[in-house]
Amino acid sequence: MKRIFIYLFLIILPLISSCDKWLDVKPTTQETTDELFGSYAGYCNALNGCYIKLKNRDIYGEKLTMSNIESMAQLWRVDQNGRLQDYELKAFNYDGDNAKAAANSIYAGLYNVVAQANMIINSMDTYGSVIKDPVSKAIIEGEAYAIRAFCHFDALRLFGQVPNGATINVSLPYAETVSQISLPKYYNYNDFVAKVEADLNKAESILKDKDPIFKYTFDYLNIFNASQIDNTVLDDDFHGYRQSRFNYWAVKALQARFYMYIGNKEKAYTIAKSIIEAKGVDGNDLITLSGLNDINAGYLACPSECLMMLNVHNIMSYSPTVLAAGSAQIRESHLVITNEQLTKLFEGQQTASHNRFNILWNRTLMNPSGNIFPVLMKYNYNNTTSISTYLELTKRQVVPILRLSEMYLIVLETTNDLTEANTLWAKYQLSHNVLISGNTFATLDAVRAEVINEYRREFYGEGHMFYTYKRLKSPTMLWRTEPVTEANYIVKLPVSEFNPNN
Amino acid sequence: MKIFRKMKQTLLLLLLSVQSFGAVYAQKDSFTLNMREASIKEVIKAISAQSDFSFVYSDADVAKLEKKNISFTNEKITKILDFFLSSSQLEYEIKDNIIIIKKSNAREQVQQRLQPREKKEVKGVVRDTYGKPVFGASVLFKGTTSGKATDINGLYTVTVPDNGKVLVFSFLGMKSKEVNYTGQSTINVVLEDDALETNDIVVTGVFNKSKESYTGSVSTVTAKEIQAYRGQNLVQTLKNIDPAFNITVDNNLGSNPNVIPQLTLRGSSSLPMSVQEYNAGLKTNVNTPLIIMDGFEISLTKLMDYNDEDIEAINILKDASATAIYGSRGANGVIVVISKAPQPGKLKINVQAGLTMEIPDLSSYDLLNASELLSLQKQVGLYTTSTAYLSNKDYAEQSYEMRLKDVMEGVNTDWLHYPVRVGTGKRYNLRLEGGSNEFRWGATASLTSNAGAMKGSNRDNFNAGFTIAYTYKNVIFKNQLRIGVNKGMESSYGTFSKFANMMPYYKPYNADGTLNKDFMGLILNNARVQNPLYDATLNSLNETGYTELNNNFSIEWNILKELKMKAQLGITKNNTENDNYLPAEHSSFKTSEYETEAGYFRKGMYKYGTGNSLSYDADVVLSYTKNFKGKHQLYAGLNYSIQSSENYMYNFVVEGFSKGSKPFIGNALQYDQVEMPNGSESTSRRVGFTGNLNYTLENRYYADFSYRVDGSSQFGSKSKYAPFWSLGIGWNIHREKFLKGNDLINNFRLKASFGQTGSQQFSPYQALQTYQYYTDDRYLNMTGAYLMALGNENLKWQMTDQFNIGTEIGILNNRLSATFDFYVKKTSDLLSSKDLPLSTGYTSYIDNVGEVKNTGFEASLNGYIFRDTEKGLIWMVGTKLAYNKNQISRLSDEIKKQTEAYRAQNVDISTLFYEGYSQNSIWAVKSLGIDPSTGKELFLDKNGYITDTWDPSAKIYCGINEPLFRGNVNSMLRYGNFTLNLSFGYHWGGQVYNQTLISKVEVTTNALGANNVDRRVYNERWSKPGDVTFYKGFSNTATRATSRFVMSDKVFELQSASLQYRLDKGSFIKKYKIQSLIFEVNTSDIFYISSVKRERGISYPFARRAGVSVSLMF
Repeated sequence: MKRIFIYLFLIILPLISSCDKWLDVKPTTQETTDELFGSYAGYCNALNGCYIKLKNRDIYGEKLTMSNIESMAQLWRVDQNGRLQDYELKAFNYDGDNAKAAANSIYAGLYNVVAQANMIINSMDTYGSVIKDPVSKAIIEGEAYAIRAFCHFDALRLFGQVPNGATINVSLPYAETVSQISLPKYYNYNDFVAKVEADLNKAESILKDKDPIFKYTFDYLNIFNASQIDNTVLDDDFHGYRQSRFNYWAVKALQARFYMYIGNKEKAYTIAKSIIEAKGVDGNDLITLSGLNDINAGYLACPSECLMMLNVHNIMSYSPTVLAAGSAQIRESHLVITNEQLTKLFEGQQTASHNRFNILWNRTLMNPSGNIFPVLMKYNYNNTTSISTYLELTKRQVVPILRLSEMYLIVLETTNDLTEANTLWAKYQLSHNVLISGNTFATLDAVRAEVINEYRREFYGEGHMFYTYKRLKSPTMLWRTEPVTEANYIVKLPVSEFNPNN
Repeated sequence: MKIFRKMKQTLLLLLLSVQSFGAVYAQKDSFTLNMREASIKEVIKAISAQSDFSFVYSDADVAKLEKKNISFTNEKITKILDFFLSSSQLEYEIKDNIIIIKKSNAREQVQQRLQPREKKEVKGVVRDTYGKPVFGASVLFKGTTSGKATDINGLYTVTVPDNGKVLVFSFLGMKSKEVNYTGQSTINVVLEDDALETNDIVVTGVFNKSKESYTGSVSTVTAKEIQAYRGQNLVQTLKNIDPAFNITVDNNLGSNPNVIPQLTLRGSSSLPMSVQEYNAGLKTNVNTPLIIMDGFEISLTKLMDYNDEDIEAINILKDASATAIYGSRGANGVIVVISKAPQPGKLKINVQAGLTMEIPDLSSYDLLNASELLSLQKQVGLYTTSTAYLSNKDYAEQSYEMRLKDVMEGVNTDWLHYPVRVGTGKRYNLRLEGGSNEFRWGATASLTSNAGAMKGSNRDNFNAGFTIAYTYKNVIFKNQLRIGVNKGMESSYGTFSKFANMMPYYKPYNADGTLNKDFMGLILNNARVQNPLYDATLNSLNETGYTELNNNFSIEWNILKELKMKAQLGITKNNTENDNYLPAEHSSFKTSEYETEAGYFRKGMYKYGTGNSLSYDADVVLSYTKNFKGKHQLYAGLNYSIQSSENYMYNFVVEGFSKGSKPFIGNALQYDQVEMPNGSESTSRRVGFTGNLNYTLENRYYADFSYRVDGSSQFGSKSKYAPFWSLGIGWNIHREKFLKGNDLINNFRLKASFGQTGSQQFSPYQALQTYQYYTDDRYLNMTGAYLMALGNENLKWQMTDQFNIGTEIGILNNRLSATFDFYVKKTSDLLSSKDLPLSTGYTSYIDNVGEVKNTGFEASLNGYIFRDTEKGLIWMVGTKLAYNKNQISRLSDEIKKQTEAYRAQNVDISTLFYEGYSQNSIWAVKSLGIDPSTGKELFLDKNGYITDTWDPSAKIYCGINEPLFRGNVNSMLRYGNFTLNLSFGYHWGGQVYNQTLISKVEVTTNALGANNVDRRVYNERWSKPGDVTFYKGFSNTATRATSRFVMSDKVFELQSASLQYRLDKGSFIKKYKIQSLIFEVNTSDIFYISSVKRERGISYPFARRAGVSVSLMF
């Protein structure tokens, strides 16, 4: 009797043990956090995931560069029937259903990228040791911090209070955890800004000296695996394409933009100037204004002067439906401008040879009624002619994020030296195929006034102008007849948010 | 040592019984012997060589016998032995195939035995289980005509015929009994009620328990009931028998044979994942009960498609005491299916063939005819220039004139009849079984073809099974192999509503018989209207199918009399396939997208999906039963089970078919340009330990305790295991002294139970925080991965607490029996998705959010109205009633917020989740009726003021979209060889939102130009000030969800009716050696009376069913 029970027990025993492991089922098309961060390749995939999210049309792929943000800056002629979101946003009708939907997707998009970056940052302590190469580790960690700062900064620029002379205060969440339990904390303007600054500094310090850009040039890192160059190949592919990632200099440029926005002109000036003057490993300038060469070569987004740009391989699959360039006819759903607007845009400029005026704006496309509207060509390229892959990736399929031109404009706006301003302006204009002889500006105020116009001209379709107006708390916007109130500069937070501002 | 001896004894008994069997069926008993001077020993040797007879004798006894010369030709063994032994002092006895030769004790005995048998008689008393004599029972020697019926005192006397070996006792409504006749003079028997067949043992799928001491609430459906109340499929059949089996009637999908019904037992105890999803119709089957067949889990689809002739019984386990042994899967109730086991004996063949018809029931449609519709259109101004439709008066008038001309010429198309038919289906079933007690086998095959009421809509099932059972000593090996092949085809006519909406003034065919491809729109220059018959003429294809292979192997070891062990292993492999082909000519390719140069080559589409699932189930059960001093009865059971299942599914689309191309993927030009291939994968694993303890005192008081620990891969890493338990007590009052010998009450039992169970209808990876690789995107030339969702490590099992109290009463010799169960079922830690602030990066995550309570009762009353056995008349009537009230008792603040947000949204009819209300409540704006002066509807707004604007946030609670009471009345009338079964169903206490009134009656003016409408539009709508009507006036403002259309839902229907004729006597039967022949006519869904007048069967019509079948048993 007893013996039977013992036998039975012995039969069942092995079945019982090791159950725990057996019950730990992991999906095959997915990986758990531990699995992913268990390898260097996993980290690379997670970081690339951030960039794929960044180039989403809800944020930098379209809404925060081409469409919504520019409509808010009153830049586009918006047809109510074709573009409901842009229509409501342009009217600052932030309570409209469509504006809400747009704001919601932008906000969700930004914070989703932040969550992806946070996963990387927060896993570093536990799993970071799987990345053996210090350069790779610096890239992964530094870029993650930069991405977190970048997205939060733009959340601030869009949903936050005006940086100078605010009467309406807005607190915003700064997300540093990925959890449903400890939700992101809200910070008032000053604390939020401090958080962004800290993350930028952290990214800078991590990337400093480790970033491959301290060893190779931007160009080399773009062509590193193309056989036509010396047959030299990087040890690790992941170290390439620094221009398309938040490299050290991109972080610096972001700092310049950040200080400019919060009104710390001295720091903005110093940093922007240091970038303009920086030398690359080959002894030449780190990066130069590329307008002349790029635009002649058909790379209309000026990729060569980008300190940071996003590679959007599928850009031609949607840009023609947004900006009309590349489509046969202008429709209600296209964002275009009028001839009068184009004239106004280049008012006071030498337009005869100005390559932006002549090449970036196509004046042949018509709507069904036969009226011509200028169309922005920046995101259009002839995709029937093929070029080598690296050029396709780094010159054509590009959405600029931080360009050297912006650094020039920052220096111009913040300098106290009129001579410096005039010299820099001449250099700047040259890249627009405009030759300046003599001094353009008589006063620094004249410089500052023109810089604002130049922001509009230069960064059309790149999402700069709304923030420029906002940092100046400008009571007017070009092409808007009604005055612009402080509240117009503050996009309302999605209703799903716990909102301490109410 | 003791064990060994016992085992030996058992073995011996077993062997004896086995051999006895052989004697009855296979023993040779005649021999041809030619011997000179043969001793009895030599004769014995010769006989032994020729047969299975073995002899038992003492050498000393036979040594005295003289040698004889023998010459027998095919002589019976008895004659041979008589020849040898007649003159001696010895006699013999044949016990099965053992022949004992011994000294005769009484000379008389020998004498008697030698006398002719005809003179011998057997007498005795036949009683029922309650000790009452059975009057009119038949007592017959098997295979002879020698028999009698019992008298009023149950007494009988039967003369023993020559070859009388087995005496058969039978009585209508009782289980027949066979007794071996071995010379006894008195044989008393007790006949059991037929219904008791499966009633004394409750098969729970894990343990087999005695009904006498079972505290769980369980209802049993027998094979006979399944046969008697047959519906479209097995699930419908079960609903016809037990109203507790709650099938949500889908008014939209009607009697589509390919629809898997929504099924609940004792109310819904889970929430769908979110308020919004619930309203979007993404109802997940979170409340489907667990279905167990022969110990292993099967899907609802499989149950629906299963061959119902192969089912012995179905037990529906309802309360916690019954379902706690299923732990995390038991909360929604458990349906235990027991398939037929092969019976030993000579080869038995059971053949059935039947025909079923599905007759479309269009009686709920009341559409306008051509001239009525045209004049209504004219009347509301659709043909005048002032409408938004047109700017050109000529066009309007011209199109009206053209139509009028057609109508005058008699065009009045009845579109409803084009897509429907009388679907003729077939059923064939073959069952073979036989074998000895040691080795039994059974084979079944069935083919069912269900033809729906819409043309081309079919569901075909082929099921086959082979079972073998082998007994070796005290171990039984059993293997069961099953295969199921299913194919479901959807009608090429598409949805039925397309036809119901069609204008009766359109002619589908031209005068020459050719099809009209399309028709003129409302006015001449309007878009053309597609003829819905056109697509049906193409060779499109829409079918799904699966093949399932299942093998169950079990070993049952009776270690001791008290101790049993059973181990089972089941493997199931399922392949599914779905095919959807639209030919190039199909109307869906008539859009501008396909009119470009490239688009032209993209016409025609084939969607193909294939999936595979493999699951293993293994379990070991150990059970111990012991009776101490006849007073204490103990049962203990232990179970260990382990299960793993893996599934995957792939889908892809190809396009570009040439015109007239056959539905074959190889004919496609390319993969779809837009849709990527996609797939899904899941793996889930589970282990469980169950213990069950049952104690009975003097058969009067009993207690039942079950405990289960479940481990599952589907829950958070912090809580992989969860315990479940139940405790039940019961009291057999009828066994108390004060009721013993009582003539009135013969069964009276009280029981109560409480327990905790769970349910497990979740996606396996919900609790995990996982990364997904991008398959359709990249950055630069590199791949990427992203965090899919926030996992929730703290996710808790959804727990259901259930309290049940019940009673069973049988009175007047069980002529009247009743049961009553009351229950309270509370599910806490409900799982649902919870909204998150977007700053976390995600919109929601899954969490435990609230509590739902179901309260209800189930009652049944069965009684014999007639039980006149003399005339062979039996009439039994039974009724069952189930009541369930669902209430959300607690919700988290997040869900409340979600609900508020959803309530304010501009949506029509919606289900909202509020504490204190049912999950299925209807929320609409309170209507005050139609203002007779304006013809507009008046509402009550949020603040209680009268308004004519519809505000979504003013929605109030209007009722429950689910009947509170549901019941049925079943009747079984047997007269002679005829049996008539009827099953009526009814429900009341719920409300329904009458969609017909919105889509077909209170339509907008413009809709009149696009759809045909219900007759009520014609004469019951408001037309001029002063009209007091239910329906508002014509306008282009759509009617929104209002309380006006919420109606009380009361239904009475005849669910099924069948007539059976059974033949087991007569020359025909004898000639073909048929055991029985049954003719059956079966109908279902014959009539339906409802308090709500609405169109039933929107996208697929309802159907009435009728079938005939013949069963033959050899």
